Amino acid sequence: MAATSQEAVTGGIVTRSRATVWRGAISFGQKSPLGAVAAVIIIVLALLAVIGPFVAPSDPLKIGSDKYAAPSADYLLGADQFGRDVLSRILHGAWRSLVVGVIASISGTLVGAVLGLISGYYGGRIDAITQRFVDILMAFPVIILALALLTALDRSFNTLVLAIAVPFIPYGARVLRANTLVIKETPYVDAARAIGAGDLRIVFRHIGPGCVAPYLVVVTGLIGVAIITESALGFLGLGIPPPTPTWGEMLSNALTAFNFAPHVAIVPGVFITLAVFSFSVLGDSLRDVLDPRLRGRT
Amino acid sequence: MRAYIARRMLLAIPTLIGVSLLIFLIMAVIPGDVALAILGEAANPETVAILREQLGLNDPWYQKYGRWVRDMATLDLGDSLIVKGVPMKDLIAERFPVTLNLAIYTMIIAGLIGVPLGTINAIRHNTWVDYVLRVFSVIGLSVPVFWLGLMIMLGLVRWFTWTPELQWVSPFDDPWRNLKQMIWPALTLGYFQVAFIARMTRSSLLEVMHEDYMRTARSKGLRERVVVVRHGLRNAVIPVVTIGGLQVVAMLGGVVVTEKVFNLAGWGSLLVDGVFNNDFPLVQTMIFIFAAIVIMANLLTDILYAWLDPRIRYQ
Repeated sequence: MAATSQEAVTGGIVTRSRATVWRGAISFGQKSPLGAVAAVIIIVLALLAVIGPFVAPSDPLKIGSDKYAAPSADYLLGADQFGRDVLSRILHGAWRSLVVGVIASISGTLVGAVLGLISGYYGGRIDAITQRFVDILMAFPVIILALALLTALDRSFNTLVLAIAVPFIPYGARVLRANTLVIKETPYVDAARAIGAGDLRIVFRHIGPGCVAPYLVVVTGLIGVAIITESALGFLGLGIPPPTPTWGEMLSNALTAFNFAPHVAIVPGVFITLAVFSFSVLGDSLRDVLDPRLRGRT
Repeated sequence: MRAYIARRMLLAIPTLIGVSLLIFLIMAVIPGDVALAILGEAANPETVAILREQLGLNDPWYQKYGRWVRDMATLDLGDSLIVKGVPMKDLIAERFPVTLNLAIYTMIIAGLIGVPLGTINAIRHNTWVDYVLRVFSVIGLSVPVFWLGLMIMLGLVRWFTWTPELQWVSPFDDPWRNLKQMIWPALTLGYFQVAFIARMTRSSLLEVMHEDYMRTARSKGLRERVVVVRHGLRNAVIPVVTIGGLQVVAMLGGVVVTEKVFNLAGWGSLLVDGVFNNDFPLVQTMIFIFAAIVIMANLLTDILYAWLDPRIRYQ
């Protein structure tokens, strides 16, 4: 079922020709220059994440003697508490930090999306039960639920993604439910039912694609929240176990060192902020461009 | 109105029960063990077994859950594992004022700065003021709270030779020192809220700007300021209040890291300390308290919304 929904959710975009995608990108840039800048920053960060490990000046795990060395020609962004090169750790950590953000956000909201579709389409008791479940999850601040889940599970890359994804379920569910309630009443859904389409087909073939735009907006916005949460957990010392670098893990020593070795605290934070900023701006711009109700309004 | 409040309160009860069950479920799969946490890893297995029996860890889950709910209802939570011999209830009570203090300052900052900022933003729509303020808001929503706190501290320590107080100073003992201590964490936590409220106020105000009653007010010859504040803001602020109320959940999340950064002994740092000391009963209770506050805040927000906007009640 998850595969079907994914197909339906992305289907509308995949089938477009390449020229349309380009034209879409250009028109997006014209409508929302700030969003285009954000998209460019994201592409640069993603490239950094992919080629970073190959261009990093040294081994991110190599322990050196220059503890807390300030930025210099040897260590472009300084060294950390074990004399490890901060730049290399940033480059190696990039893909993990971004992937945690992207996967946690997509998977959490996708589970929520399916719940929201079903809940909105069937209504009645199913809806009532799903909504209570959503209310329960909504009562937890994201970081606190993630913290609880990480306390209960072994700490690893996968559990970190899971712990950040679960708190996102209600966000996907709410948006999809609201959209399903609207689309379900439209004539084309009636028409589909009239020609004898089954529930599954209506939900994933006719209602699902109509929810792609709001879904993308939620996902993009939440990638930023996921990156912030990863960094906060790392800062508290509850993220990925050391020495594997992520931007969050790199901040685990920040509180001890920020005073005498500020670069240890500043550098990862700048990258995190840049990434979160880009994703939230892109999310906002996508909403402005994709949401017909907001079209023409600034 | 009374029926509406009753209905909303009734809906909050199953949510509270669900929240407690979910927390209990998460905590139940923890591989560690309270008995081991109390006695230490090196303890004799027999002693651990005896303590497990005494603590009732071998009982079925519904008995354990029932005991936890009863303990919370009667406020008899047993001793904390972090500070040996101190009842958990005292520990929680002792740390409450710090978090309350932080939350109140943060909300004051959010309201006092966020609403005027959003209003200016809306009035100066599509001018450079609008763009600058919007960027200010987006940055506020993007900077990790704890990192902002670190940077503020770095600045204070470097340029103002500021040293954080070792302990929380009550505003009733020394209001000035309390303000000096709490203003920075409150600003740290408040930036996100200010940014959020400013954005909401801006878009909400822009929405009402072209309403008929605004035109009427203008055509009566009222000054623009009066039109915006008396007629525009009054209507625009309703959704801001409600969304501001729903922001309690974000604020509580921020409390956890902010308290850690500024070394404040409040509920947030108590929760983190509990996690690090494997004090599962404490963690479980603290998480429930946080979630319960969110539910209560949402309930109050709904009621406030219905009171401000009578159309809601009849839906």
